[in-house]
Amino acid sequence: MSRGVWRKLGIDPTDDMTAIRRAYARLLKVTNPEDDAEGFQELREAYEQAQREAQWMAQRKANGWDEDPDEDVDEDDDAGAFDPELIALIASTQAARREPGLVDDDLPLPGPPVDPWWRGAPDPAPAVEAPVAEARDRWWRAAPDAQPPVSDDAALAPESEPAPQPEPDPVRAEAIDFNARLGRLRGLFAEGRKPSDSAALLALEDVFASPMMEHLPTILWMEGWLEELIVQSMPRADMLIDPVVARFRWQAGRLSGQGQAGAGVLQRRDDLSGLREIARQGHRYHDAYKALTRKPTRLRTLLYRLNPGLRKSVSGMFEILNYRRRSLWGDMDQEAVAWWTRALEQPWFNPLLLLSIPVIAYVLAIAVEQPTARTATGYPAVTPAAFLTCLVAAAVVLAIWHFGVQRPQHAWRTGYRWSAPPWLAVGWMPAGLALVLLATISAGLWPLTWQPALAFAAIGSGLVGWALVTGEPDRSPGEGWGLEMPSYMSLFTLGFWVVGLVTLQPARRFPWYVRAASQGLFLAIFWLILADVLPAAAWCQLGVALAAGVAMVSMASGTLEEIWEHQVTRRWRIGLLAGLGVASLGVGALLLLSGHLPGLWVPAAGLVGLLVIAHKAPGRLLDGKVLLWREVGMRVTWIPIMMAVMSLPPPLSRSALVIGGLWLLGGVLLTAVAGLVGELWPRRANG
Amino acid sequence: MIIGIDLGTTNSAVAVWRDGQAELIPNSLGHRLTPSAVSVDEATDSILVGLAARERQSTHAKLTATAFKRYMGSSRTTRLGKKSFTPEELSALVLKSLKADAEAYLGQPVTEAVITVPAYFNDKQRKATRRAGELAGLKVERLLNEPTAAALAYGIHELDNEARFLVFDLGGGTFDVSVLELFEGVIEVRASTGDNHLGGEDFNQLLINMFWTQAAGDWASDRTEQVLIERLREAAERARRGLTDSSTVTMSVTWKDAIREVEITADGFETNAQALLDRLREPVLRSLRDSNVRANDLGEIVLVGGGTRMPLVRRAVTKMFGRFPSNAVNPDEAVALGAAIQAGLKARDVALKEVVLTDVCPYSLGVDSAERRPDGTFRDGIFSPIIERNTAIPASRVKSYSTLQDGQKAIELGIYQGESLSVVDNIKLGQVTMKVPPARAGEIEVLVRFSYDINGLLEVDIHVPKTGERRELVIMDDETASMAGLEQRRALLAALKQHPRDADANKAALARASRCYEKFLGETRSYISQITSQFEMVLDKQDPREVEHARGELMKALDALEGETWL
Repeated sequence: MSRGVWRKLGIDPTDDMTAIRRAYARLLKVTNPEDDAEGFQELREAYEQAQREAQWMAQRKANGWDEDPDEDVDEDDDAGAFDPELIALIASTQAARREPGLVDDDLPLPGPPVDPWWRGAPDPAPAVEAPVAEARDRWWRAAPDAQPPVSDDAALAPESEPAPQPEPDPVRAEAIDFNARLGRLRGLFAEGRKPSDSAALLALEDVFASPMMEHLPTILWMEGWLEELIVQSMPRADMLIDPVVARFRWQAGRLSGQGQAGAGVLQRRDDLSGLREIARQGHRYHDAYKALTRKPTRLRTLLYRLNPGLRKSVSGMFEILNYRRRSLWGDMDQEAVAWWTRALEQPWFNPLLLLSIPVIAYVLAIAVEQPTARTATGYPAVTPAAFLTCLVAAAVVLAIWHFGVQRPQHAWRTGYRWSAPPWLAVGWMPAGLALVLLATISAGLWPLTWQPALAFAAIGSGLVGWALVTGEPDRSPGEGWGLEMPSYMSLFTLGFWVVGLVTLQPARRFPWYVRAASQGLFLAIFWLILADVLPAAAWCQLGVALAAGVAMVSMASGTLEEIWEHQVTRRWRIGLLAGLGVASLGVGALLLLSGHLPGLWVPAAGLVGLLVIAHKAPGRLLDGKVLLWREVGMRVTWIPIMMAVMSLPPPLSRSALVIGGLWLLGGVLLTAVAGLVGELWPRRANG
Repeated sequence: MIIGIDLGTTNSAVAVWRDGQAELIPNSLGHRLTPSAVSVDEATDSILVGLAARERQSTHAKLTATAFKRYMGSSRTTRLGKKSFTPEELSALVLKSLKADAEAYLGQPVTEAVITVPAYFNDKQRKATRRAGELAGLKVERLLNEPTAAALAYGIHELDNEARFLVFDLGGGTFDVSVLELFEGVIEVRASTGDNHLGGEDFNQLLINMFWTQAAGDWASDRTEQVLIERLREAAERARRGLTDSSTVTMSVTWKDAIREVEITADGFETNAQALLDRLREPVLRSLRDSNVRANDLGEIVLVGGGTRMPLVRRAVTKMFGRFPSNAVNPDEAVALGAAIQAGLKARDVALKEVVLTDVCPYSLGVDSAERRPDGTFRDGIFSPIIERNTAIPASRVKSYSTLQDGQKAIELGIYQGESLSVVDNIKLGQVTMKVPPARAGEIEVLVRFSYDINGLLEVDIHVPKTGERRELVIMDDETASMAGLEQRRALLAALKQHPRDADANKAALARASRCYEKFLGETRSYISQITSQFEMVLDKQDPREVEHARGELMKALDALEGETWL
């Protein structure tokens, strides 16, 4: 692109603006905008692009080629000495007509103010320590002459005076006086001081009253200076906002561009009006506002902990502060912000859940005892022993959940996630598959014993816990891939939804938990069919292992997909997909054989389950259309076929095993083939 | 031969590029400016244009129209006697008179013209101006922005320098600021901004308000009387001009056989005008920011437009820039001269071969758009600019938009001009509906191309790649713009009897005399009546030399009474 620009202008790349302009002017004579509109547009574009590139080149050159491009920003930042600039600026206005040489190119109209901390990219993890105070301090530290510059007046005169003029100049006197007024205004806010409103307004009035404020360069300069002052000393300089905005007629809601001034101040003003709204009784986030602006005393934090609504409200408020009204961080109580940041990060016992434990225990006890007696108030009477047992059980489950999953999960996400070896992150997946394999073998060898099922259940729950801690479900809202419908199907949207709901499959835009819950649906139905065919103990052993496997892939499908897509190399992916395909064919053959050899039922069923679990991750990442048709096909045909097969007389239930198994394997094979095709001939559209 | 016309709010002028320079063409009265006024003479059923018409303003308020440029592009009609006129027809009458002046001066028929418009004129107003030209029998070769024209008039003498300068154009009704750069024979407009409702008329209104507060008395009940309004306006205009040279003027108004006078000092006027003067600053600041030119880098401040003759405006400019503005061009004539230079450029005149002018689009143009909020609701009415302000023209930009809802059947695009992020604050230029095939949200893409041509006219081209459908739209062409309609209206205008050109001066003199008659009381009045009838007697004799002499005498007598006629 860049080369074309220079070719168009007929010159070599250069940072010499004059050369660029000369080339443009020369070409313009032949490509006149009057009669060659298109030619002119091309030329103009090339010209503007060349100017940009030249500017960039010049900037890099000025910065010494390999220095950080942000360097110039820092320079601006350090240029705390605003007064000599201004005096020189004014002197130059006077001198320009007499001695053009005096107009130094480096003389300031301060560029756009340094991007202040709060306007930068939002920090993904809000700093626990008071961000405002810190940034503020940084700024004041960076400005070494934070003292009112009035005292420097005398010293300034010589250094800002390139061509000494012996006679006193009234404009210079005005400038010095103006500078003194500026100094007073700035002094009010120096070192974190907060002046009274009236004092600050008086000082501002004083500055505005100076005759210098009639002068365009001063106005332009002052706009930047005041914006910086207000933005950098938020919220202490808020009282200046309205008079300054009125004075410069800054307007909100204008198209930005070079002409836009005062954006930071306008944003702040808007933020403040937002804050006033939030502070009003009855606003959604009013409670959060109160919680964030008061000191977090011990009593208050205790109350905060017990209020689930407040927690939600505060996290909503944090969202607003982070993404829409960053300047308001400074208006919050810093201790409260720190406390809430910590509190929101930590896993949390829902107090409602805690309160509901006795209820759950009571219901459990009723279920266990099935009492006929009634209490005085008419409720079923349970024995205290049963109630207590159930209470303890519920509490234990909750404690296991909290200490076994929530806490480790938090620790994992905050500490180890990015540094942990891959086996720790997804080791549960091969382990789960191994468990299914083990269960298959065990069920084949000891089809009549129950004990292995218990062991598998224990190991399985451990693996599920592992997956829960290190993995994350696919929380995408269900749009985009996999669930899209071709437009001509939109007529059938309603019917589609009905079918989707009946089959409990992830129709489009089902929330993630519904999708996760329905992941093992086909397998579960298949499993129910097997109950007729397999001995109860073997069925149970296999079932426990398969349930663990399905639970794992549902709870952590997001992680699985991510790893499959980004961490497994293409070569491995192709290999695995090919293996999956071949295995599904092999198991299919086994399944067909098992129709005649009942001894093969257990291994065949176990292996079908294994493959179904194994194909989940690649299956979700297929091309959208293929996935759609696969899902629709499975959904629409599976239930009727299964119902038909089930309705056959009992001796034929083994054919249900074969047909259902083949159906599942067909899905696996389709995934493998489509995945392979996608890997081997990647669509150009994706590239 | 292409002529250049400055079609102003209060005065118009015509100029031509001849023999390597631009020259102004005098009208039948020998003046270089022709007031933009039209009046119907019911006695002879003919149309008066120019000074004669303006002189009738206060005596025949219901038969006279002025300042109609302010309503250009609107459908508002003005009733003069039995006929009603649209602003473009009134402008066409002025243009016709200018055309006749040019033909008389050049001795050849004139059919093509460059006409200037305020930079801030929108598409509709520009098209109306072009139609006015066509109604007057002129092919409008080019619509040129007024400050750009003025800059051309200034820059043509500075071509050898590399310079940046600012044109400060305070006209009768509009205020425009342009920052320009000259290099290598290229005159480049860097930025153009303005205030559409700030001009000499606002200062007049200020004087009228001062008059009302100081000397209203029992006249207040007649505040809405058309004749009184016109008289006040005239008195204010005269007072404002008087303040150019002296520090106090007397504003005197006659109403219901009484004269009221108000002393106005320059200082008092300046104090009262502070709010207006403050409004001058903002467009200047904006143009400097937009053009990325520092105030100190400006070589010259060029003042254009009658408003800049006011000393308080000149003082404000001097304060702003810390130096005196340039006197290089005549504020009243620069725009017409610039239009003539543009005509020369257009005609590829040899003397202008090495000069190229590039202009900008002074406002942003775009469409309204909507966005989906995270919670699924929509926020609409967001202005999405396609051509950003101060883009060099001709410009063509394309932007892509897509559907927001599933199964959306059509996309409605409102076309807007302005700088506000919300379309309700911008000016709507048009609306177009584009059918799209129903599909999932975001799947259908619509490409909107805006082409802004060198005349400042906008063309919108909408393309749906999915269906290949394409729609071109020229904004707001109402039914009157059709060729047949235009022909018909031109015929109607041509049928109107124009007052004979050679009698213009006499008519103007008589109109002035009758205005003065109403303005003065007592003895002065009878004196005016006396000299008027003397002049009428001379007119009856139809001896041209005698008539000219007598007219001169009459004018002198009236000048002695009320000061010179101004344009």
